[in-house]
Amino acid sequence: MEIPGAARPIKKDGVHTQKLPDGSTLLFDQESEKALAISQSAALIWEICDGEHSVDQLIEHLLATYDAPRETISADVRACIRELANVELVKLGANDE
Amino acid sequence: MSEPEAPAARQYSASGRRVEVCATAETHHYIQRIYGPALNGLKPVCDSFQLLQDPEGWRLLEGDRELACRPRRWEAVEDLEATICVRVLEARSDLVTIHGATLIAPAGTLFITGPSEAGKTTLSLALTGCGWRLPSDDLAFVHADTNELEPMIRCFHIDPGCRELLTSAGMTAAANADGILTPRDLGYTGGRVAAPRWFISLLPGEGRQPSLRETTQAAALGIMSQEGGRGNAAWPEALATLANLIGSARCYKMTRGELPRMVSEIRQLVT
Repeated sequence: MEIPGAARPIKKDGVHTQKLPDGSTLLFDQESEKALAISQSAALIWEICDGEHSVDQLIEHLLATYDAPRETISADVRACIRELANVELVKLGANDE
Repeated sequence: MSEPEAPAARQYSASGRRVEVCATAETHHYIQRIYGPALNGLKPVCDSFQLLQDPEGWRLLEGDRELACRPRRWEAVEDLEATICVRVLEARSDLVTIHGATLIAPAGTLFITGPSEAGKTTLSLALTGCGWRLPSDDLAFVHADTNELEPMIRCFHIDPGCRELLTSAGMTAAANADGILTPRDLGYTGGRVAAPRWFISLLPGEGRQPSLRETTQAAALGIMSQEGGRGNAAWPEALATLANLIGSARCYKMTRGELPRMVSEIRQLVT
């Protein structure tokens, strides 16, 4: 699945976010009753999937947070958005391009 | 052949639910192995059963309604226990439940979860060979106020495969149990237990060497959310209860291997 930089991912309604003391997070879809465990960095991406921020903006946000090359961050953000979209926890919103 | 002794009604506490069973002394002996000694006096009860032998077999009745008729007494006792379990779960739907085996080791509580047929019962019974207690291999209520577990006392279901593995692991007492085996038979007499320090999700596997890998608490919570019951609680409340329970635990995934190797790996972990 192609993840355009201008896409604005938005969370599905009714997904409960449960943070755990070890830094991991569980996303729980109350409609399907399915769960997805995500890492600390994926939780950061999830939080910003508000339909307002683009994938490119997500990448910039993570670049400011993590000390890693742009290519790595870009690939990780796209992989995370792709996984969330595959399990229908986010929709890829309006593409401004 | 009918029993020479006249049946009598006795009352028991099944996870706090008062139940009455009319049966002969020998049958009461089986029931006491599950629920402990009969309660003093006959008071109003939630459920009232009869478990008696007739020419067709061992018949379990509730009033006039037949619930089961089995060729062996212990099979009818298992039916009684399963019926009571359902009633207890219905009555205590204010509590979140988790599915799996609760084990009490000297260093703390271990909880083993996993899909049916993963081998939780066999592994848990084998771990009692280390001197650990096994209050339940099936369900536990979570008390959110104290963050404790209340294991639901049930019979262990020992199928032929489990019996063979336990025999090969030297657990002959468990393997040779006369039909049913209960937590009380293995030394557990009831009560709440501390929040688990270790959670293990047991996965099916074919190899000889088991694989034990640490995982995140969120991964463990995801598995628990699929395996347990939330009772009357809304999902966010139930997940918060479970997160609190898991929050101070180390979480692992274990892919099944040979029983003695699994026991050895877990013993090294739980110290």
